[in-house]
This record gives sequence, C-alpha cells and structure tokens, in this order.
Amino acid sequence: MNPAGWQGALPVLLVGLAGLSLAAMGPLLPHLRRVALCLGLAALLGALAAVAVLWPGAPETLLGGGGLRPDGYALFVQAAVLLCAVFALLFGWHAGEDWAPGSTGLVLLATSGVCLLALAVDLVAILTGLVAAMLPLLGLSAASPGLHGREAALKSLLATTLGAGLLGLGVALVASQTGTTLLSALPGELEHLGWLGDRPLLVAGLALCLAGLCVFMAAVPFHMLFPDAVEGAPTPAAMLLTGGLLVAGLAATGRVVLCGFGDAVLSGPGYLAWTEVLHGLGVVTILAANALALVQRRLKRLLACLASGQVGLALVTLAAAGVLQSRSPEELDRALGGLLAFLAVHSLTWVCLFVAVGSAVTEAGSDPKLGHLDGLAQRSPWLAAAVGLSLLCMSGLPLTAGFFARMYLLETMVAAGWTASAVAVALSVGLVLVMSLGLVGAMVLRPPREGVTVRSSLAVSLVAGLASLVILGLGLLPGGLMDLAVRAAGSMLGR
Amino acid sequence: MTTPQALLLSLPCVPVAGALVAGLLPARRGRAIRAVGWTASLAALAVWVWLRAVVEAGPGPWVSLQAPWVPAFGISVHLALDGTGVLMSGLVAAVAVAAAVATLPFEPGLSRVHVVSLLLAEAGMLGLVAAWDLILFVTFWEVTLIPFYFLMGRGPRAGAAAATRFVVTSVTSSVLMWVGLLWAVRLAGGTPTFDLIELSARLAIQPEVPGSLVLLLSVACLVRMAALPLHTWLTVAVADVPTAAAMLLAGGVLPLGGFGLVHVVGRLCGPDLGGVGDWFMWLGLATATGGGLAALVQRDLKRLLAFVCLAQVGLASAGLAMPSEAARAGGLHLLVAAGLGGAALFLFAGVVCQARGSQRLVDLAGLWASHPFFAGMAFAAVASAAAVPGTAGFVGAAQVLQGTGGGWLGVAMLALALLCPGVAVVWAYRRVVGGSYQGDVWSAERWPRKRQAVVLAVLALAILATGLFPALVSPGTGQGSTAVASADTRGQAGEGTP
Repeated sequence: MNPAGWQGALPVLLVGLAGLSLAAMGPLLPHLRRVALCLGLAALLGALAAVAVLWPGAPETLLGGGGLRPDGYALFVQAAVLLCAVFALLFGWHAGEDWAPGSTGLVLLATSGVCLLALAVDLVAILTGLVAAMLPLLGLSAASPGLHGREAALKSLLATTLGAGLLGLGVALVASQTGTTLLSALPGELEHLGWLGDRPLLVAGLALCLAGLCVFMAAVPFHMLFPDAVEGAPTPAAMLLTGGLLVAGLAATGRVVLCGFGDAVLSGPGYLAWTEVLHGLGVVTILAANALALVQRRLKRLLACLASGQVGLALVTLAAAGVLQSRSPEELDRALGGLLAFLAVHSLTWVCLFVAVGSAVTEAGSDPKLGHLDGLAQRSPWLAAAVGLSLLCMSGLPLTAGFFARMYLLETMVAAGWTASAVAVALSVGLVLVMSLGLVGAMVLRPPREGVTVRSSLAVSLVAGLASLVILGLGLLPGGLMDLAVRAAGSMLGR
Repeated sequence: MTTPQALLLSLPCVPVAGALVAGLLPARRGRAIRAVGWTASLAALAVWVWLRAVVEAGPGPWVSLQAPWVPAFGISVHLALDGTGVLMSGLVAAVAVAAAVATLPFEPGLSRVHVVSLLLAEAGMLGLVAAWDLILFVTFWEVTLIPFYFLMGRGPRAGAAAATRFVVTSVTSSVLMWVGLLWAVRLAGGTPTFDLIELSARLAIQPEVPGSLVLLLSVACLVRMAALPLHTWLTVAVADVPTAAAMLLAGGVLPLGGFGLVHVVGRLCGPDLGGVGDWFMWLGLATATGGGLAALVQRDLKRLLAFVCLAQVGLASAGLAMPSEAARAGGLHLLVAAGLGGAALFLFAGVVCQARGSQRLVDLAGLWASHPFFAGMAFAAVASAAAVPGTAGFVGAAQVLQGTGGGWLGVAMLALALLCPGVAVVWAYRRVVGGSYQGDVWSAERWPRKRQAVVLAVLALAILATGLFPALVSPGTGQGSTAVASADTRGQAGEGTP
C-alpha cells in the first residue's frame, strides 16, 4: 500500500475493523445488543465523515498493489452505500429482540465488502469485493429465525458460487491472454492485440466476466435466485442487497466496461460489441423483471423483481454510455453522472420500501402480501406517505428524485441514438408507475386488512421520514446531487 | 416581481394552498373542508379575473416569469400565458369552480381526500397551461394524474377500474411524450435547453422534424383528447366517477389535450405538425364521426354525453390540425365550447341521475314538467353540442367548416360529425325532459339545490355569451403568428440545406 495514500481506504478499514470486532464479540455479549448497534452506527458515521473529508478523492493514488483507487467515483458510491447501512442498522434497532447477536457486525462486514467493491479497479479486487460483501449477507440470512432465512442463505450461496465461478474463470482467461487484470492496463493490451476474432479464449474471458457480474446484479437470465434470496433475508440484509450490493456492483460494472473494455472489444465480423450485448441484456432484464413483478403477490418478491428491472435500466444506460465514450467526453461524464445519481436515489428508495415492508407484521407471522398494505394510510399515515413517495419515486414521477434520475438515463439512451430502446424502457417505467399507483390507491382508498399490524417506532419513523425528505428534496432541487455525480464520473474517467 | 407575474405564480399556487389547508384539517370537520374546497377554487378564479384585467395583449406571451431550476441542464421554472393560455386557464378555473361549488356540498360520502384531490387536479391543470419549460410541462402533465386517480377511484360503481384505465393510458402516453421531448432537445442541438421558446426557435431552423418524433410528442395529447382508438378510458371514466370528476374530465382534461397539441407539438413542429398535420386532421374527423355514431346507440345518459364530448373534441382537434388559420381558431373555440358544454352537461346528468338513482335513459323522463328552470338551462349546453347558431359550438364548427381541406370527403365527414352527436344529444334531451313526471320514483329530497341550478345557469350564460360574442374567446395575437413564423423559417432552412 502506498503509505502516502492509505487514507483513501479509511472508510473500508474503519467499517471492516469495527465489523470484525462486533461479529466476534456479538455472540459473547448478547445482552449488549444496543451497545453494539451504537458502536456500529458510530463506525458508519465515522466512515461517512471520512468520505466527506476525502472528497473529491485522489484519482492518481493507487492502493493495494494498484487494485484500489479512492477517486471521486468510489467515494460517491461509498457514501450511498454507507447511508444505506446506517438505515439498515437503525432498522435493526427497531427489530428489538429479533436482531440476532452478531448481526450488527455482519452488517458492517458486508458494508465494508461493498465499499471495497467501490474502490476496486482490478478484476481480482472486484471479485474479492463481491464475495466479501455477499458472505456476511448470507450469514445474516442464515442467522434469522425460520426456514425462509436458511433457504435464502442457501440460494445466496448458490448465486455467489455461480457468480464468483464465472467471474473467476473469466478473470483467469483474461489474465492468461493479456497478462494483466488491471482495468487501466487492459485497453492498452487489447489494442496491442488488435482484432480479437483470432483469440476466442480472450473473447470468452471477457464474456465470462460480464456474465459473472450479471449474476451478482440479478440481471436476466441470472435473476432466478434473487427474489428468493431477498424474500428470506431479514429486512436489513434485504436493504443492503438491493440498496448496497446492487448499487456498488453496477458501479463496478461501469468501471469494468468503460475503463477496462474500452471501445475495441468483441467487435468485428461475427462478434458483437459489448455495448450491444449489454444493451440487449438490459432491455430484456427490464421487460422480463417488470413483467414478473406484475404477477407477484408477496411484497418482498415484488420489490426484488422491481429491483431487477432497475438493474436492467442501469445496464442499458451503461451500454449507451459506452457508445458515447467514443463521441464526446462531456456527454459521457453527464451520462455516467446521471447513472450515479440514479443509483444513489435507487438505494434510498429501496431502504424506504423495505422499512415499510419490515414494519408490516402479520399475526400469522407470514411474509407480508400485497393486500396487507390496504388501508395503511389510516393505520400509519406517515409510513404510508413514505411508502407512497418511494413507490412513485421508483417509477420516476415528477417532483420526486426519481424523475430527474430517470430523465438522465433516458436522455443518455436518446443521445446514443437508441430511441426505440428508450421508448421500450419508458413504457416499462410506465408499467411500474401504474403498479405503484395501484398500491398507493390501495393504501389510501381501501379499508385496513384484518390480521395485520404495523409496528412503528422512533427508528422506523426516523428512517422513513429522512428518506422521504431526501426524495422530495432531490425532486425539487436535483442540481446539487447531479453536480456531485458528474464530478464523480469525471474523476473515474481521469478528468 | 410585477403584479401580473405575482398573479401568474398565484394561479396554480392558490389551489395548492387550499389543498394543504384542507389536508391539514381534521377529517371530522367535513363542513370546513368543503368550505375550503370551494373557497380556494373561487379564489383561483378571482386571481385569473384579476390577471386578465391587468395583463396586456401582445405578440408572444402576455405575461412571463422565469427562474433557473437546474441551470446545468437548461431546466427552468418558466411560467407564461399567451392568448391561448389565458383562455384555457380561464376555462379550467371556471370549470373547477363549477365542480367545487355545485358538487362539494352534496356529494355523498365525501372525504378529505376528495377535496384535496379536486384542488390538486385544478392546480395541476392550471400549472400545465402556464408551463413554458418542457420539464415543467411534463411535471404538471404527470402529477395531475395522481389527484385524478383518487378523484375517480371513489366513483359509485366501477370507479377504481375507470381510474386504472385512465391512468394506464395516460401514463403510457406521457412516457412516450417524455422520450419525444428528450429527442427534440437532442435534435435542436447546442447547449441543452427545455425552454419552449428557445427550443422552438432552434427546431425551426432544422430542415425537417421526423414524423416519429411528432407521433411520440402528440400521442399523449391524443390520449387526453380521447382520440380514436385511444378513447376507451373516457366512456368508462365519465360514466362511473363522481360528478365533480366527470366535470373536470370533460371540461378540463379533454380540452387540455387539445391545448397540449397546440402548445407543445404545434410550437415545436410548426403549424403543419411536422408535415403530418393531414393525418391528424383525418384522425380528428374520424374521432368526431365515430363519437357521434356511437352516441346514437347509447342507452346510458352519461355514456351518451361522453361520446358527444368526444365528437366535439375530435372536431376541435381536426380544426387544430388544419393548415388554415380560421380552422385553427375554430378548433380553439370548439375546445372552449366542449369544456363549458361538457361541464354543464355532466353537472346536469350527475344531478338528474343521482336524484333518479339510475343512468338509463328509459328511466329518465318528465323533467320539463317538474324542474323547468333546470331543464331549460341545460338546453344551452345541448344546443352548443348540436352546433345550434348563437352558441359557442356553432361558432367553432362554422370556422372549422370554413377551413376544411380534404375535398368532398372531408366536408362529408365533418357534416356527419356535426349531425350525429347533435341528433343524439337532442334526442336524449327530449327523452329526459319530455314525457310525464312520476314523482314517486325520484328522490324525495329537494333537487336540484339552488346552488346547482345557479351554477348551471352561469355555465349556460357563458356558452351563449361565447356564441354571441366570439371575440370573448379569441386567443388574440401570438399563437398563430409564432407558429407560422417557425414554419416559414424551417422552409427557408430546408431550401438552403444541401
């Protein structure tokens, strides 16, 4: 590690060390649950403060043998993920005795893994970050009571194994053909090799890398295990899966394709450019995931499907950004900035939604279903307002943060000349809006359902209230977030 | 900030403030909530009257207010009203007052959500008319859906289904408009801007506007206008929703669809709508004819009126798409006539059907014998829908007829489009007011209330006044000249481009 630049890893170190200590001590001191939560929150807030101090980052500094770079891009993603983790721990406070000993430590460990992923500029570091983030989440699911949790842990393990296997194989093939796994060195090597049609192993390696990342991102056709993993996971783990891992994973995918693949990979007669592959994958993911969401009756599964749909949207935007890469640096900055803003808003939205779902408790103890939201406005008006706002934000309704985030993504697609895809995506977004409005209507217009109680607490109100305020605030004044996001994007692209 | 600018800003803000007050009142204070509802609507109308009095007519916007919103992306809060905008905002404010005053005190099972939604819907529509930044326009266009969903969802029969259908079609179309706007910004080139004036000027020097862009931009307006084959939401919606919602739909949403066509598509793509104006004219004529023919076979009063409104708005859209200035002015006139007439007809139908407990025409008869004043006032709206001389509908239809293109087929379709709804609505009116009155099958409560009769009378007077003095609804200078100028410039640019 470069001794002059070690501060860049401060957030990861702080959260990771605190997580290790709390995970080790948690089972020994079960009665100190609240103390552990306080310590965990302090570590996260400290890491957030470190991110703020380090902003706008040091793009020229490389850590961990050149595999980690604490640039503005990494710091932006880390801030979003750390906020998500703060909300997850606050919800852990609300969960009371259901919060297993050691869970705080696992949340912190998963967060440090996700933060590591944000820093990674090397394929091996990305693989390490993904696995380091997934394993504690898997532990959280396994530690939760009931069969659902263990089933979720098993499916998460399967997904991790599959994703890590594909990505690992891809990295090995790329390394064997180019002699490097550093994203910054990869374009030069690829350019040096010329047309890749003669090097099927390299092409296969790059394709396997994309496939491995897509498994972690729950993109179609690798989405099958994701709804089960989210449904069985305890609420804080579900928050980190959707609002943390997906966000950092998509950011890492952005680094891989824009910094590593460049604009010369997989092109040529008989081969597809990576932009085309990602474009197709994204459109199929959006359409399939949103169509699957239409037929879901259980809330957590519905949210998981919608999250997959959002991933598709981000993938199409990444592909469009790849097209813009060779045209105009300003447009690329703007496109990537828009994507970062979208990911930050996405993280906040999922936090708010999972808080609401986690607060709705059925007397039978089963997972909440769609009908359980009926009449929520009468039982808990503020929670209903927060859920409604989050749902509408997710669908990109104006006056919420989602509107501008979605607008930037569509703008990127139009700028890339993919108007037909933009129309398909917009229609799919419209479908989500209709679905969201149906849920909001049920919360406001229908009478409350028997057998369902809403466990509200100060922590839940705090999380829902804060998230709602930010969603509304960013909807009215999005300029600040966009400025930060564009600067972060420029930092990643070396500007 | 000058007085007209302050009034312009107040126009959408007053109903929002009313909605906030109503929303914060305890749900049990029904009387106070209703009072806030109609007071805020009246206040918005008063603001409009004041604005109309102080603002000076001229080319371009009569009053304008602009402040940066997201400067880096060329997005600003640009509110303005030109002649057409002043006209449409007045229509919306008037219809909202009619809906609030005539229905709020008498709506059964009324809740706080209903009043708040009514006021927010009014605010959204007023904001839509005043928006001259496209992002602001889309914001109001989409946000208006939410209050309408709640207004319609509380309907007596299948309100939720109607609301869902309305939302599905509206959302589908508005996301397409969203993509279209982004495309237009891209096509315009230069520093990104969403300002309507700036964008129109940039697009005017483009050699041509792609037809698919025009389609993306206009499909949302066509859905709101319920043009064929996107009309299916209207008949379900107005038949199954509370009276206030039906009045706002017929008197606000339908005309504003046409306004969107003029305000956004007309400005961005020129008066010939990017060269596909003829297609829109035929679509409008087909909608008018189809609506009129469908009205003839209805047996439900509200559905029949929905098709009559559809026919009138279809005719208006045909006029707006025609190249002649007279036809476009007629189209605008017809939009106002459709708004005022639709609100009056649905107020009449709402009161009558609620008193009878049925919407079927066979159940309704004898109103002339029992309630001559109320039935008489409704005749003005019926006459306007049938384009009887001296009413608003006649003036608009005559102007459209004057500018009709498309040869004998166009004239024949126009005649059919005028004749069918006219026959249908007059037949239905005769059915409802004629015959003998059987008091035992009607509500024992006093109906219509005085306030409802007065509102209907005021609407009838407005319909007659706009028919007898067409200058009252003349949009003035600005709209037509701007559009023609943009078309001329495009032509020159096209000639100069190799």
